[in-house]
Amino acid sequence: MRRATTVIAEVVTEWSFPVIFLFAVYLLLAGHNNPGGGFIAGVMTAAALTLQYVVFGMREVQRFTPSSYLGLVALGLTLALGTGLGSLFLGWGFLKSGILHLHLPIFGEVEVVSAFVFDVGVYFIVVGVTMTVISLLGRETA
Amino acid sequence: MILLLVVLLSPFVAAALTPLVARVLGTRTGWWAALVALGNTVALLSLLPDILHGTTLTYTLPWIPLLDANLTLMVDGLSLFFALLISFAGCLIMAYGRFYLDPREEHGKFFAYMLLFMGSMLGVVLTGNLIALFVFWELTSLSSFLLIGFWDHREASRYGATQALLITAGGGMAMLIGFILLHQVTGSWDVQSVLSQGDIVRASPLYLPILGLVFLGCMTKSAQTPFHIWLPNAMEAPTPVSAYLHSATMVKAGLYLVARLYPALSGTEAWLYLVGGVGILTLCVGGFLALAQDDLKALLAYSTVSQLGLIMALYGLGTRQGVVAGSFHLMNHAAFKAALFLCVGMVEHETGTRRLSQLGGLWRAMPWTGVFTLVSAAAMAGLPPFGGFVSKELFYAATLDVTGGAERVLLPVLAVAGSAFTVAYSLRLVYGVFFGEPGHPPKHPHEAPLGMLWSPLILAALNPFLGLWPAPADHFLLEPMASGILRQNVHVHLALWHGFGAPLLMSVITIAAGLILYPAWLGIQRWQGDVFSRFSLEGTYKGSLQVLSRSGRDVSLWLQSGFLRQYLLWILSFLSLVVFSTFLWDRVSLIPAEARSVLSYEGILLIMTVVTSIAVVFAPRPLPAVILLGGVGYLVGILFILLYAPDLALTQILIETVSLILFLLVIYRLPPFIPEQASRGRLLRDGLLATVVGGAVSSVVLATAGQGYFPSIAEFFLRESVPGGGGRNVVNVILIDFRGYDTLGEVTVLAIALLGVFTLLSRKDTR
Repeated sequence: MRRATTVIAEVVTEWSFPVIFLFAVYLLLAGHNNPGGGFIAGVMTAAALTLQYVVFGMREVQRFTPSSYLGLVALGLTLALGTGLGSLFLGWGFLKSGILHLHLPIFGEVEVVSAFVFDVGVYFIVVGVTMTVISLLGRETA
Repeated sequence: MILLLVVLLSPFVAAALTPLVARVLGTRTGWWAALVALGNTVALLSLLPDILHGTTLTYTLPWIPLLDANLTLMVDGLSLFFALLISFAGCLIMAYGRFYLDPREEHGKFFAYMLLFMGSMLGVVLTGNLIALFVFWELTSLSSFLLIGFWDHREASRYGATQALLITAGGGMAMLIGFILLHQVTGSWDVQSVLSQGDIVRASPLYLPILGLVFLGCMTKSAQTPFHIWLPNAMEAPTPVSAYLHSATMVKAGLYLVARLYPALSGTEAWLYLVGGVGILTLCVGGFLALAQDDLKALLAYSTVSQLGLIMALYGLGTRQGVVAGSFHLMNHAAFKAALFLCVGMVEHETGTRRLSQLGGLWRAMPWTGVFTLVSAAAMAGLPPFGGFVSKELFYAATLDVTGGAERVLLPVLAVAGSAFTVAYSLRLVYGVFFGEPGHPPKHPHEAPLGMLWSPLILAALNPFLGLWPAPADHFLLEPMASGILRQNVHVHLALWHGFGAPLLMSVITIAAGLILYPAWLGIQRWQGDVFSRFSLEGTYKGSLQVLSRSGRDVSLWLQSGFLRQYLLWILSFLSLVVFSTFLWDRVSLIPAEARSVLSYEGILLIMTVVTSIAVVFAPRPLPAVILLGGVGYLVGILFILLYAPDLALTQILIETVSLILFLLVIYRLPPFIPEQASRGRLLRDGLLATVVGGAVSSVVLATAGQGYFPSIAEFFLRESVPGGGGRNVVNVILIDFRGYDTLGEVTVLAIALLGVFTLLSRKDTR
């Protein structure tokens, strides 16, 4: 069932969704050095999906996202816990960060921090939690 | 020594794999579990040469190094003996269990639990950190719960499992408090460091509480009177479990801890009276109760209680001799009691009953089982030429060696009395099952299958070996063990024949008294029934459990009424109470250290925020209230931008947006809003609460900006962000690195809360 939305809303949503989503990904990647981070990126992604949901309905959103968002939460928790256990078994202590300097062809000097994996975990958890609740609450209204 | 970590982890990994293995192996899964245990035994044996040289092997896996909470593994003679006992007995008993379990039962589940227990128990004895020790200690209680309740369709199994868990885990809690106090005194969680500070511990005013609380944990775990009641009820478990957990290993964890902390806690009068007194009392009570049992496993359970009391008493003497005798008896007990349990298991398996009143004259039908039982029971009774005789002689010698007043007479007398009961019930066990009138068991008895006989054969054969040729056990196990307990080199010379002397005389008296006591079992049985109908510890346990659950329910109903406003009332008023009382107590200044005048646009923003907030309160319906609340949120977000906090502003605005939508969705589902005519009193109460909470939060903010009540840690984060966390966004580095633990906890809570929301909303009848 489509809702009574205006064409303007639909077009704006269609065009702005990729922009918001890409910005969220940017926030996730840049978060360690610039404003951003897994939590904000997660909420931003959820907001983009919510916009889709408000304008087009839940079915449309679920066409291009996993059918169960609980899986995302599980994935996120595994990543977060895995980061901690990973550094534990490398002998650094639980959740201790490791920093790796890489030389990549295009990007030049890139710093990879093990905590980034943790941040990605947080990202998935936030997206998963928000979208689970929204999809559950919006189930019958969609 | 990375090998230690492998030894510790392999049972856990194997337990996790067992359900998969069971799909392939089916009823042969027991071999897999036994193989894991055998591998561990071999690995541990390879450490023996180092231990014989007197080295203590350690391996540290940092966990939270700043808090001294590490997974430290430590092996000395004491740990190695226990670890070997756990692995070796585990191997034999799991091989036996493969035949004991009915082919229709869930072998995968059973052996997964057994391996889980083995890992936990190895953890208890291998760890060198008090916190880790506590965690593994509670894990053994949990796996014991699972194993006692393995036949969960039986009411008695569930009861026994719950009782064992409540008593041992309760004792574990007391032990944890004891450990925390011990940490307060010694400043370390590391066992070796604690042990080296024995004099400081004994001199501390906290010594008695520490001893009492830690010993409470040992008492419950090792089933010392009056906490012994869980052990007989735990006999509802399958017999391999009884043999493994409830005679050979887990119930010895309390003895292990007493031995482990011996250098730190022993050597005082309190130690003698508490540990020695409880031990000798348990020896007598357990023996007395064992004699009159009809159920063979109950008889063995009470006998275990009694024997554990004997070892506890020996450690409680606080003498070198006591430690040696206790350790040697511990070895003997593991051998004869595990063998006896396995024999009783075979009797039950082949006859269908374990009631003495239905058994008798099985000697012809089950000759091998009979021989094993006879040997093991003779060792238990302390007859020559078995190991039990040697340790009993040592026990007597040690009790005679005590200096002091009343205990100088009382100890040897009680020792002989308790041991006389041992002789009597050992006799009853052997005679009642294998000799005398043939009984009327449900099944036609015949000898157990060959595969089942191996394990009891090996265990029973250890007894004459330990008695006739004690030198290897003495040199390879007992000396390192005693040295590990006392933390000094100990030389022991064991021999079957000690010459004529007081101990031998006491042995003769014991055997004679046992023979006299034996015919009295029927009278004791009647008398016990009479007494227990009026008073029993079991009744006390049930009664206190009822009181506990009733008061628990009352408190819950009072605190958790099911109304959201009620919960908010509790939470918010408690918060305000904590804030105000702390601030008043510490006389915190609420005047900011630096102040500047408010700029004009900031002022406008603040006034708008206040006006919108007031409007929220007076909104006529939920919908406008929610929208106004969202407005407050956005205004605060703008404030963050003005104060140069982009991360906070971004978060605030996004959260407001998403939660506004969630609110709208929820309101859509709520029943139609009926304006409530709140009474004047409630309005007053809510208004007051709101003011107080607002005041509390404002005070915290003011105090933060104030003169150093909360010293700023911003400097540290700004300095360490790049070198320590590898990032220039300090907010993010704090979230995922410096405070990564918090974040991990928060996201876990979030996921758990989500599961609750999911369950609630997935119900068909939502709305």
